[in-house]
Amino acid sequence: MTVGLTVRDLTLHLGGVTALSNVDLTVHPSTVHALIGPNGAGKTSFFNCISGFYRPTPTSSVVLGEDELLGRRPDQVAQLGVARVFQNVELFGRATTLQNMMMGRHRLMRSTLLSDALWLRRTRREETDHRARVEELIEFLEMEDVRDVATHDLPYGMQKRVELGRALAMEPRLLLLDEPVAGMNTEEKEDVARFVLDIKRLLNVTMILIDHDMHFVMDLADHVSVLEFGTLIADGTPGQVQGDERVIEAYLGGAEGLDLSIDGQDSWVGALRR
Amino acid sequence: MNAISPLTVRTRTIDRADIGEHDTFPKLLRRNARDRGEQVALRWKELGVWREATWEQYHQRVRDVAFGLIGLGATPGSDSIAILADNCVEWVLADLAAQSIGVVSVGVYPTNTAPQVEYIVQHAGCSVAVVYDQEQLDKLLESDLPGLRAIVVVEEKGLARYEDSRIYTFEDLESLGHKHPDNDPEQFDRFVDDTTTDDVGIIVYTSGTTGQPKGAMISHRNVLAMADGWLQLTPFREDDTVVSYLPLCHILERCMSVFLPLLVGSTVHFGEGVHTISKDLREIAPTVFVGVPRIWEKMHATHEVSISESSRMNRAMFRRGMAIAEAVQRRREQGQSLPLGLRVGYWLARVLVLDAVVDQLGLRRSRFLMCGAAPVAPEILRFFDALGLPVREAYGQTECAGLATIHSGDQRRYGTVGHLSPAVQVRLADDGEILLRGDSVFRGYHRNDEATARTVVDGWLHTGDVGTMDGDCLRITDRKKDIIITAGGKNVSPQEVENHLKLSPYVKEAVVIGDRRKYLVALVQIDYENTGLWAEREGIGYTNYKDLATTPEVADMVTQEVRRLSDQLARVEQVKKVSILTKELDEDDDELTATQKVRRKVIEERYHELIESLYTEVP
Repeated sequence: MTVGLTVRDLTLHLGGVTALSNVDLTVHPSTVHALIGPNGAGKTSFFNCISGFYRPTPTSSVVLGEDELLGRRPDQVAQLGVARVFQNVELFGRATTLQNMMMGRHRLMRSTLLSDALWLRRTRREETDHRARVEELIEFLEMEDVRDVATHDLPYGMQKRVELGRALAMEPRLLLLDEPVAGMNTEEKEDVARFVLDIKRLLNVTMILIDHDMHFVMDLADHVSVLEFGTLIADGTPGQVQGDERVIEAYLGGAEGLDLSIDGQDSWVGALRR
Repeated sequence: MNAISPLTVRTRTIDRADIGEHDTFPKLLRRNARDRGEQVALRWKELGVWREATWEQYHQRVRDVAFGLIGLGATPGSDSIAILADNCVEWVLADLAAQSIGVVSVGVYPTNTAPQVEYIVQHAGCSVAVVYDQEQLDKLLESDLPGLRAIVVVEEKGLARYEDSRIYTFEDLESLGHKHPDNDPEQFDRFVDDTTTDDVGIIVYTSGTTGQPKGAMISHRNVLAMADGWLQLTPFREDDTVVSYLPLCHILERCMSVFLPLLVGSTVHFGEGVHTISKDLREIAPTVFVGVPRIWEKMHATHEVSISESSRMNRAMFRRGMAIAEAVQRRREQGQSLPLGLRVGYWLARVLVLDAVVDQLGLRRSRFLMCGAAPVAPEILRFFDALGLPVREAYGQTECAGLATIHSGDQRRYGTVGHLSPAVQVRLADDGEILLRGDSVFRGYHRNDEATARTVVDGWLHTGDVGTMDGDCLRITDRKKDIIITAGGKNVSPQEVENHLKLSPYVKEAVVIGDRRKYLVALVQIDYENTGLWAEREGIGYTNYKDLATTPEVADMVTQEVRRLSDQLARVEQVKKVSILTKELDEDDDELTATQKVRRKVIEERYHELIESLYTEVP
């Protein structure tokens, strides 16, 4: 059931800028694959290509299991089992945690508008089954106490957790995590780290992770790929990448516009030199 | 949505521990399975849905768990197990399963630190431990416990990476017991028949405000005698419902969730966890609710703050309604009759305002409310009484198996802890210490004869509490060792002063000091949530507790609050100076006991310099 992702020759032009050029990488099934790099390296663009928001050049190829993802609309990509947790919170604020998560089940629901309107037995059973699965995830992510709270009333860390829950409710084969711990305190980060490990181990979901907190990334990732100006400059285990001269160069010297004053970024340097 | 079966009509009122030949709790479980097998004994919320078990199912699961414990190496008749878990069905199953095979059940606070857990499990000699989750499991794994043969974990999540061969899940335990070759009803009956009323069923480790915890050995007879006295003072009903939420290792919650239901047949509910308690309460709306003072204080404070944040209209309505309710409460407390106008006004106030508040608290159907385990300010109880929620104050301790006094009938004698239980004889020593004697007095401290000899002298339990009789009610003045004698030779009870200061929603904890001093001072821990809301309203920014506590505006506000409340007290009880603690008191730092009582001595030592500074300047 678990699948990997094969990216070949991924190239993306945005106007006159080459955001990604000839990126090749392989994400193995049931692993956490981290994608790191300075600001503007092309990480979020990479996600946008996979999820169908951007159109890379025609020679590019991104294959999940057996399915080519490129050339499809975002909803079709989601239908193939790709879920994404956004960098910013993208929830229905007035809806409750439970309702937001039920939304994640949308791709799996089979009932039609008509059968819903008539509230047929089949529809009722389907609703119950989906609710049961969502309840399992609520327990998994320890959100019982906020089940019926409108998400805009939740603290930021908890909103991110609801997003993660909604993504998991889709029963994804591939989960894209775009800076899941940005702006979180240490305790919240530790919670997310624990959940990521549990998702890998217990739900067997393949994950690609973008984050600037190097301690977080290096502790969690099985494999790390480093982008700089749209090019893959290093690829390997966390240990290999941390010792790579080009990576250290990219973070400490080469890349312009790198803001070392940000807390998370300070810690990269430490983690890289370790 | 919730799968709760309609309540069968069973409204019998029970005012005695009517046990017949069923003189132990395992025997009572068997009786209930036989006599009221189809009635619901337990409900628990799982994946958002309430599930239930009848007395018969309860009995069967206890049998499986009991044989499971045997399968894991517990020795029937001469062993003990530890239970280190949040409130859950598995807790009570393990508890009764152990007792059924003559194995002592030892509850441990989930908040205890690893060294404390190690001490208790070692001291009690437990061969099996039932723990809630990975967090509790880690505490045992990092301890050195050679006698511990198996650890059973209720919540399976995160167990995959452990390799210790002693680890089992609770499901493993039940299926192991279910398949155990000796597991048949007759064999189980023989085990249950072998339990005798004078067996030690449970050991309760009392946190104590000083030194290592002591294990109070409590027999079935102790609890049954205690419960008999309790039921005579305040009868319970077969159709009562309880939500289990206070720590089950504490004797009070054990009475509510295990012992009393076994005697009267009431139904116990387990919510989803510590964080969902207020929601669970609203869903169940239990008929019986027992809180420690902190819970009532918290409800009172949250309520005050939410009123102050509501619209002007709501505020005005509430103030008016509350004024009427307080007038009614005063008259009732003094035993005066209510004039017609006031009756009508009160009825309106309840319909328009007060009932909504009661509903919010989840106490709409409540019939029996109680406050126990520590002293509470009478004003708190008067507030709830005005809302139409008469809270009975009770007094007791682990060493007398629970309750010794409680307000009975409809009398409101706030400030006292109520009438004496027929189960105990009470005597006041020359220095005012309360002495108790009777069948409920415990069997002594486990492996600590010296402490036992100090506590029980000629059959009289020395409670360490000082009190007086007020009519037919007992009034507790203080803990013997806590009493402050000021430099002027006046006796002051710090707890009474502290509880009075805690009436402010901004004061979470107060420690009053003044022994052999000229005047009293108080160290105050602010209520982070409520004070934070106040600061937000005032436009004061803050980042964390320390930041908030050191803001000059907060210091001024809290000092004024303390002064306002302190002025209502007798002159000698008034607090002259206040200092706000810049850190929250914490169990991990030894400043609080597991029941969240302040360890006065530790605090006096730790904040020695701060205290001295309060005495160096002129007040």
